[in-house]
Amino acid sequence: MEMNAGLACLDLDFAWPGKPAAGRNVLTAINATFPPGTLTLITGATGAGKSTLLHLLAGLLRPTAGEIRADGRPVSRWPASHRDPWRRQVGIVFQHLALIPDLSAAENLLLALLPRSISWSRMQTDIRRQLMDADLGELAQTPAGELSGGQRQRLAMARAMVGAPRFLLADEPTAFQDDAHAFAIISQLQRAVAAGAVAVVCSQDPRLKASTAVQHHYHLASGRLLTDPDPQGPS
Amino acid sequence: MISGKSGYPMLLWAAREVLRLPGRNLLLLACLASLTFLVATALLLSQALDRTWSRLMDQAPDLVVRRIDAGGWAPIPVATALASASTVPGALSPTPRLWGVVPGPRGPVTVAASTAAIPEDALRGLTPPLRGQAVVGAGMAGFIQDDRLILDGRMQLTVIGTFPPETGLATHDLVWMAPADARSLLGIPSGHASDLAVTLFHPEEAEAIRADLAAAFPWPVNITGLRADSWRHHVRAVRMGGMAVVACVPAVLAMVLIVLGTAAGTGSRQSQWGLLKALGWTTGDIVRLQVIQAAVVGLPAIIFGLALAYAAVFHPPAAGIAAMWITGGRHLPELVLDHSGAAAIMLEITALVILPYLMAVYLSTIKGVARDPLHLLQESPWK
Amino acid sequence: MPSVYRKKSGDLPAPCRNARNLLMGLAVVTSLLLLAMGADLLRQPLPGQAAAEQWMHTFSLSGPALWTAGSPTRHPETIHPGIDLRLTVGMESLP
Repeated sequence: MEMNAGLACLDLDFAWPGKPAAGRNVLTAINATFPPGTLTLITGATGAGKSTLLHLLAGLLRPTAGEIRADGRPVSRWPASHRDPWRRQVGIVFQHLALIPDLSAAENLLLALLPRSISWSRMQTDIRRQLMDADLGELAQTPAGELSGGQRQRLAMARAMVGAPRFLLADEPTAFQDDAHAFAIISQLQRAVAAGAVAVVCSQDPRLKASTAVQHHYHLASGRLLTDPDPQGPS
Repeated sequence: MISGKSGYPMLLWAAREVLRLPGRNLLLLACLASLTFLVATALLLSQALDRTWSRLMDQAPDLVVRRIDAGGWAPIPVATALASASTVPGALSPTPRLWGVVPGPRGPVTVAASTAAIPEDALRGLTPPLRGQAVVGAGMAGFIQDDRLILDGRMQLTVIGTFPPETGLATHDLVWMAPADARSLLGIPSGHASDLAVTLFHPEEAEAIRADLAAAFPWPVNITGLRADSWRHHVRAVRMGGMAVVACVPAVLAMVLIVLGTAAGTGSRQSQWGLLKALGWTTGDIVRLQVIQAAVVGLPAIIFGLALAYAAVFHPPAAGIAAMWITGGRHLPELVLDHSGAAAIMLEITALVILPYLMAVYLSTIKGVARDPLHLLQESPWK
Repeated sequence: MPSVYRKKSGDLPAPCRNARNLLMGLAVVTSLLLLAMGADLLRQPLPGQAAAEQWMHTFSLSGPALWTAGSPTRHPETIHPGIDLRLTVGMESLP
């Protein structure tokens, strides 16, 4: 494995614009590496900044100090014109899912594939595969707004996976799932890391904490990211 | 812009986006089509009328000489007039005209008789009227019963033919009769004519020749240059066209404001753009989608508008209505207008409408998308 | 590619059928309109136009028949300053 492969945070600070810098950082001096082929779980209390860290890793936000490297490249310092297309290597599951309700399940996945230079038929094939893996094959043409909470969450996961991402970032991906579907999602994550992807999941789900699929555990508290001393314990 | 593997999916998705807001896009299509129709009708008609007018006026005489005396207009002796006109250099083929205006069944009509034989190919199937007969224009055909035409309450003629409606610009209210009938009706004695039509070798020398021509005749004459009036109508037509273009500018600006107000701005639209950026769409991809979407609506709208305008101008009777409006005339002739140059005008109108529209979409999208993806994502709450 | 993922084209997960129909419909209609206008533009010469010009020449008419017969705009040569037009046959309706 290359030393620079995967995602890395180097002395990362983040504060929301307009807020005083000193003492009010959401994230402070984050140093962490997320190697390829591994699944990392980040736990923390509500409001600790887990979603913010995920958004920074996805390049949706810029850090106020430090940098984020992806496969050795300082993506957080890139202008938007370079970061935007780089994000095609990123699959992200938002906490609020960010599905477009009037589009069908399949059309929500199509959005992730449209800007890529692949053929229409290949897009359809990839979409069908992901929907079936997510147990949504029969609901391809159902509007996303008509799906249940659990189905919508699996759909968001499918959208993150449909482009075979190099970096998979998921925020509470199993929150609305029963045990069977939660384990199915964990299996999906395992398959992705087995193919060499970097997977970072933020969650307070004890099923994820207890899962052996997770190789690294971190805990976010007071803006600092620490190795979780008790990975199998309560969040 | 559209090429390769990303072209067709993006085009298809643009059409899908159009269908997501069908009411708004249908309204936009109707507005664009209406704007195009109004501007195109005015421009096409003024240009076509001008060209057709020019072609017809090329067949009209350059100067008309009318004899005057103390009582007003007087018939002009043909032999003396021809001899006098022939002495003026630059005056070609002076032709005596036997014509006048008399009350007809529904208002004044132009009566005319040909003083020379008409070639067979020029007759186009019509038979020259003999004494007691007439060939009438299509504008009068509806008012004639039992093929009887009564002029000035005293002369009855048998209608033996009608000029084709498509020649209405020349013959709409014309009554072609035998020379003897015309003389009797108009009070023009034998050997005289109503006036003399003169064609010039160089029409632009009309004003210069007018004085020479007047001096050549042994009696007072009034000489009218028809080109001057033709020029006035040309200017009027061009002005109408120019006004249409000028009126188009605020209309297009208003449309641009509508686009700026709707294309960019709603919170849910911006949050969806934020999602697209999070999924790896670049600003260029989003702008491309919006412009293609605008073109999917805009280009057909403009073509519909142009087609309607084309039909209105070049296919009667709509053209006649528009011509009455533009010229202030009271006739409704069946207009057959010259459509050379119409293609260039339609391209010009397309550019005049589509370019500001697409530019407005482009600029408003660029402005709307130029923020961090997360801020865009959070513009409106996700359900 | 696993066959389970390949379906008939009519059974695509995101067929966007309506969008495709919209594009095809618009393309067909606009193409037909453009073809019709193009064919009409190529139609030369217009028979009515040539005939009208012929009759203008035959009778040496002063101008096209867009105005009422006898009106000054139609027959500008009949305008004469200083002459009482009420005495002239056919000119009674002049302004």
